[in-house]
Amino acid sequence: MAATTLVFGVLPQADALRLADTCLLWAHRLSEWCGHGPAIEEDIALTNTALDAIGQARALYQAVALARGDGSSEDTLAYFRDPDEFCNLSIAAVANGDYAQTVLRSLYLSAWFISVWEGFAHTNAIELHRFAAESAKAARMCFRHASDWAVRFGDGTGESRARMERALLLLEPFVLELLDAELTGSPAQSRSGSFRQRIDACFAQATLSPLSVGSSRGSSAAERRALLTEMQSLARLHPTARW
Amino acid sequence: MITFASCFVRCEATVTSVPIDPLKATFWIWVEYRRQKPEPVLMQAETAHPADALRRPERNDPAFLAKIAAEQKIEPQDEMPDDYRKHLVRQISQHAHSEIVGMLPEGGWITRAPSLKRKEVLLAKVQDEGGHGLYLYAAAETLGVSRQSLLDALHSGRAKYSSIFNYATETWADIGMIGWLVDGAAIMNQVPLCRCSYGPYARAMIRICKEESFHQRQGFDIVRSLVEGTTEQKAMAQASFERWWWPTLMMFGPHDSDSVHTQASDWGIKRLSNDELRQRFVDVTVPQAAYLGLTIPDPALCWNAERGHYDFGPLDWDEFWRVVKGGGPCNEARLSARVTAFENGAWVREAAAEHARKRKFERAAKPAEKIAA
Repeated sequence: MAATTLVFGVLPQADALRLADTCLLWAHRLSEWCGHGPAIEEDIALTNTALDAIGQARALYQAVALARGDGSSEDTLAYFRDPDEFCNLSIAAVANGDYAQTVLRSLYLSAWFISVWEGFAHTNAIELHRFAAESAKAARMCFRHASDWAVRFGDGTGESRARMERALLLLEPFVLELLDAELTGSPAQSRSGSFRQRIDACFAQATLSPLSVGSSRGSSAAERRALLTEMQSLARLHPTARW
Repeated sequence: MITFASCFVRCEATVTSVPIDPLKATFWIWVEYRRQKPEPVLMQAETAHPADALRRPERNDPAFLAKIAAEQKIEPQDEMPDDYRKHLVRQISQHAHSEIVGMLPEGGWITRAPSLKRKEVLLAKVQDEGGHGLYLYAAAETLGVSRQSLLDALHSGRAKYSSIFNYATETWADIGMIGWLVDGAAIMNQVPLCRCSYGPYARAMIRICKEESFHQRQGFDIVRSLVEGTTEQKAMAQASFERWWWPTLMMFGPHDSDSVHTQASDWGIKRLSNDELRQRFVDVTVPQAAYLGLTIPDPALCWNAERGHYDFGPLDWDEFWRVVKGGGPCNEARLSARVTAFENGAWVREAAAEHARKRKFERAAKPAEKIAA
């Protein structure tokens, strides 16, 4: 059965799609900043993270399509699945908000991805090992960038600190999923420890309170629907076209 | 026979023959960003420039003109006439503004690109334009102006940018046309600038032209995929071509007979006239359009064997001046988007500056801790 074929030989398709969808939607949100950032350097930096994430999404979709062997492609998976079929982490689809919120989302997601990709460091699946090692490098670079800004905001002006604290409140409902999301080969328990450690070290330097995890879970389903409506609009208008 | 490869301009081998990997190019910018000081320097205030203390020769100073005639580069620490410096500041900053404003018409399609490959390539391409803006603002700063003052001039409407970016990108085909036609015209204009007399500008242009060459090819590739596609895609390409052909020809500026004379040629800044560049562009682009099967919207277009060039119809200079003076379809939207981005980012830049100030005082007492990634 196609649905049980493993991606990269070891990864269940649901897990691969969860990673791919998260990368794609996060990249999409970052790309919305292109040309509108607070400084040209930041436009370039955010675009770089977006390019890394799109590259990871493409590699994963291609691997899923290969495992399915049913004529799927990276583009049918990205452009012709309905919003409800996407299985991204909710935080990836949340609208950008201000720069503090964008930075905080990048901080959370890059810390999460570092622990996910590093979790595959000892896999025997060579392709996955190589892909995860490259992706971990990119996630560490993004984390450095995001943590630099989180520190500047927390320990900057009164306004930047207030904005950072507001971003923490807005994104708090999405943290629990980062801590308990299960992925084959990357148990949540071991990931959540390193995630917390990284985030708390950053918050300490930013003179912010340690990570607060609420019991409620946020939903970004409506935002995801709007995002995908825009992203898929042209492709769906010409379903037989090649681009 | 027209082939895909022969369609492209071979202006200067050293510039166009280097294979460019867009992702590597953008990565390089990122690496440079990371190599900066721990705290970002986002638009320093204007400070005294070393060149301020230098002698300022007259605009026709024989020694200065002789140096330029000998193809020697003028560097920031060299003596130069005030008018030469002013001309360069105006030209380089207009170029920088064009790169930054130019991110907007294409940037609007990143979120709607019809395939993941196109999305990735377009994102890298627009990122390159931001990088070009940075190089150019930095080149202008070597002449003793700050990025802040240049941006103030843009935001207040005192400084201009290329009018082509005041046209709307109505369909995906417009993204192809911007790469193929607009970046193609830009390359035509910019390749001669790689030999410009001012060293920092010339060196920036070498890098920029390499990347623009890639941009033109990606635009051509988008258009090619459309003309080889469905009936709707072909119609989309033709309609877009008709929208962009004339505005692209206007990118080279007024006719030579109507241009304000400057000393840019004597100073080794401008090597070819507006009309020469426009003619070159038409001559190389007509065969490319034929290869693509697109009809050029100009009934007067024909090959003139005697001149060895294509003749083409008159440009609508009323439209040209209307757009230059702010009456184009998107002048207001483009400037407003830049001003909004800058104003919304003020608190971010202030936070960086304040944090850097605090750290400066703390650094002596306690070295900064690194956050483990």
